[in-house]
Amino acid sequence: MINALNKLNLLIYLLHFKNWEFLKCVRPLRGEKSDFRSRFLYTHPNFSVGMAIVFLWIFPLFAFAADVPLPDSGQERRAQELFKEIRCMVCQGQAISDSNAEVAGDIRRNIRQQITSGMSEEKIKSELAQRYGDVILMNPPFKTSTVLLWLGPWVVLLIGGGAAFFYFHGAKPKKRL
Amino acid sequence: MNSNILRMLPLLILFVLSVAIALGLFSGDDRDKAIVTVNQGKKFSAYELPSLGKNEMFTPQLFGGGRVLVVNIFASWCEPCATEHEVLMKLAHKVNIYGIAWKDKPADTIKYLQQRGNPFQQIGVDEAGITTVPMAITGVPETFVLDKNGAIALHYKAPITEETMTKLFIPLISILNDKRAE
Repeated sequence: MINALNKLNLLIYLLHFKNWEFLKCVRPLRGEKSDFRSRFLYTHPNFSVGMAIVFLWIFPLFAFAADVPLPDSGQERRAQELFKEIRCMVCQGQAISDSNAEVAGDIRRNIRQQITSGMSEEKIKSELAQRYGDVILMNPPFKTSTVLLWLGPWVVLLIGGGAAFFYFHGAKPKKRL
Repeated sequence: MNSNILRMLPLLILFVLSVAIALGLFSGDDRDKAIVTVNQGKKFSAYELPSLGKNEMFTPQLFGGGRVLVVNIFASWCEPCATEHEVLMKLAHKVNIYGIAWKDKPADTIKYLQQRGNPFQQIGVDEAGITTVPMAITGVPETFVLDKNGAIALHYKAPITEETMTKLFIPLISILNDKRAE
């Protein structure tokens, strides 16, 4: 996540360098009327470079200040994959992979610790579910209590689709008569 | 007649469905939603924490041991905790309350308690939030009522109000007090 952001910001930064060169070219010679473009703050070279610096350095720092990636890249990748499957309990619709709530940060740290101690993904997930309930899993498990949740939409689709099928196949010949 | 009923069927299904959803949405009050049931009856797993202003540690040994007690998770930066604090001051007359200062600087916690009074027997300092996952905390304030064996009798994840104290906490504590420890 931070890596991707950094790449994006680097791109923005480089784009603004291009902009800068461009502005140098159109900058009016002494005595000429100034070009309208340079009047806009955001086209000013100092502004774009400043913004690039802000994005490049400060924003990633704020995003996940508490997160220390694991030294082992394989383990870190496993942790990152797992983050996508754990719900942030404060922000509900979000996974902890892209939430910067305090609690999400704590759970990320806890998962990293458990991965370094050699615990399997399934074990980590089941332990979290035991503490917080199944809600914490982005994909709730298929159980008797969640049958409606998983099959409900398909049942509705079946009823609706069936009704539509019989309606269109049954009604058309009648109308022709 | 028969086709009339058939024509009404989708509307009827919709009606039944809406009633069911409305019942699910509006039945039960917010107090029920604040009660976390997953952890009921489980042993309260506490970390060893440094305790605030004392040399001893805030340990799991404090819990259980034949006493009913309340553990409150709070922070000085949390506004609802400040309103809850007045209620805790009253509750402290009925039961021993232990506090955990969650993601809070000790200096801030001390200032907070100096201004409002201290209802806690002992306070564990959790600056980094290491208790979050083992205790299944989602935010502050949260309160646990532990029975005489140190198992969770109630996990409440909302500020305690005057009303919840008299209607929920005090009756529960007196029931737990009457039970004998195993």
